[in-house]
Amino acid sequence: MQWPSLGLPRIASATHTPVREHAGRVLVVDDVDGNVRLVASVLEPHGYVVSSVSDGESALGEIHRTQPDLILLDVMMPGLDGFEACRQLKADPETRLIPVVLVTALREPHNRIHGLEAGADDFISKPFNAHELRARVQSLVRLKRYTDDLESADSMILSLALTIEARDLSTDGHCQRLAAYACAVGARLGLSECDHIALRRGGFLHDIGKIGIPDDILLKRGPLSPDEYKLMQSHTLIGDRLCGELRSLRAVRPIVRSHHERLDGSGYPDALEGDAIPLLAQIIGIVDVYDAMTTDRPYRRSTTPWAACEELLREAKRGRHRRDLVDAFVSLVTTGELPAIGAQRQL
Amino acid sequence: MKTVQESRRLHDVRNQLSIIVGFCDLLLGEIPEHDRKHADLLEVSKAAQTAIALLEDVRVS
Repeated sequence: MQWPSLGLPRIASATHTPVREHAGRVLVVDDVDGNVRLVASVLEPHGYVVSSVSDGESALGEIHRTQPDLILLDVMMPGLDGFEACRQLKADPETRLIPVVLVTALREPHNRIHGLEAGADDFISKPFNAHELRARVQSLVRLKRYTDDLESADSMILSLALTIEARDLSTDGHCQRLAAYACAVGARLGLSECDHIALRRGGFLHDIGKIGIPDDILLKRGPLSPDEYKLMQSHTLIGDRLCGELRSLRAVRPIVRSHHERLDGSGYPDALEGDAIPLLAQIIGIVDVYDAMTTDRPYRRSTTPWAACEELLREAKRGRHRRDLVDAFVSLVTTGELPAIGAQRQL
Repeated sequence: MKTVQESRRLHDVRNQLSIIVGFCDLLLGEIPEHDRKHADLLEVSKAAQTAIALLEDVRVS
């Protein structure tokens, strides 16, 4: 899925599942009209909506426009052939999850290998058996629906994160800022693309577990009682459990669970020490502290970015944060490279 | 060794024959077996499939 850079998430597909009035939308890409008609005759009586284009170039445009559930792609076409069209579809994040079946009259085994290398999900030789075509289409469309549902789950958990944030107006923009700050630190440290994605998602989702914390504790002005504090701390465990079922959030779970851990073992929920605390969780932990200090909270006024950086450096000296990570973050603040978002105080 | 053009032509012929086989397949599923048309259509399908098999011979010869 496409995660928002900084704006609101795409949640339309998550808010309700549209009623599907058809078995699936299939795009046939073939320059021979008889083939298109044959596929339509096989699939339409079974509830599929079949559309067609006659060459690879038009296919790419049509697929971006209509986002079909499945593409039946002829290999030998004038212009952009099926292999190349398939390769381009599978290289594009917008289209790579749409199953592609290469349908071809080519018999040689190397064509099949070619197709698999191009990223095709299946291969059907002409002449094909109608039952076989239907069965394969049905199974791939089902797979596509599972993927769509997972995507929806992803978007839903993200919108949940922003819902939590919306409960507490004093943290307005917190998730966006954390995602941006953490990514800036990641870039400064030269972390991988995977880590970068995890940091962005982690910025949004780190406090997702607060959905399980009652309003009277979450929004309480003044200090929490020991019991309330313990309950508040459990948001890390609740969040970890919430993300647990989603494969796409696997890299984010350590952030959600461990962003309140501290190097000296004084953090929660597991009192981890040193390198036992996942690196990405440490980064989110640092930018979280900074953002908390530089925004107004119900129980105190915000401090200046300078003062917040000094406090972070003091905490690093006390052994609560890794010094090199704090240094990387502070250097972003002092050079003015920290992205400016929302309501935090300016220098 | 076939030229690219010859291979392309073989592919195109095979493609057209596949359409015949495919539609026969569909219609055979709709026409009851006791209907005379079923047997006639089966002949069309068999002929097209035989032609596809003959193409294979051309391809390797």
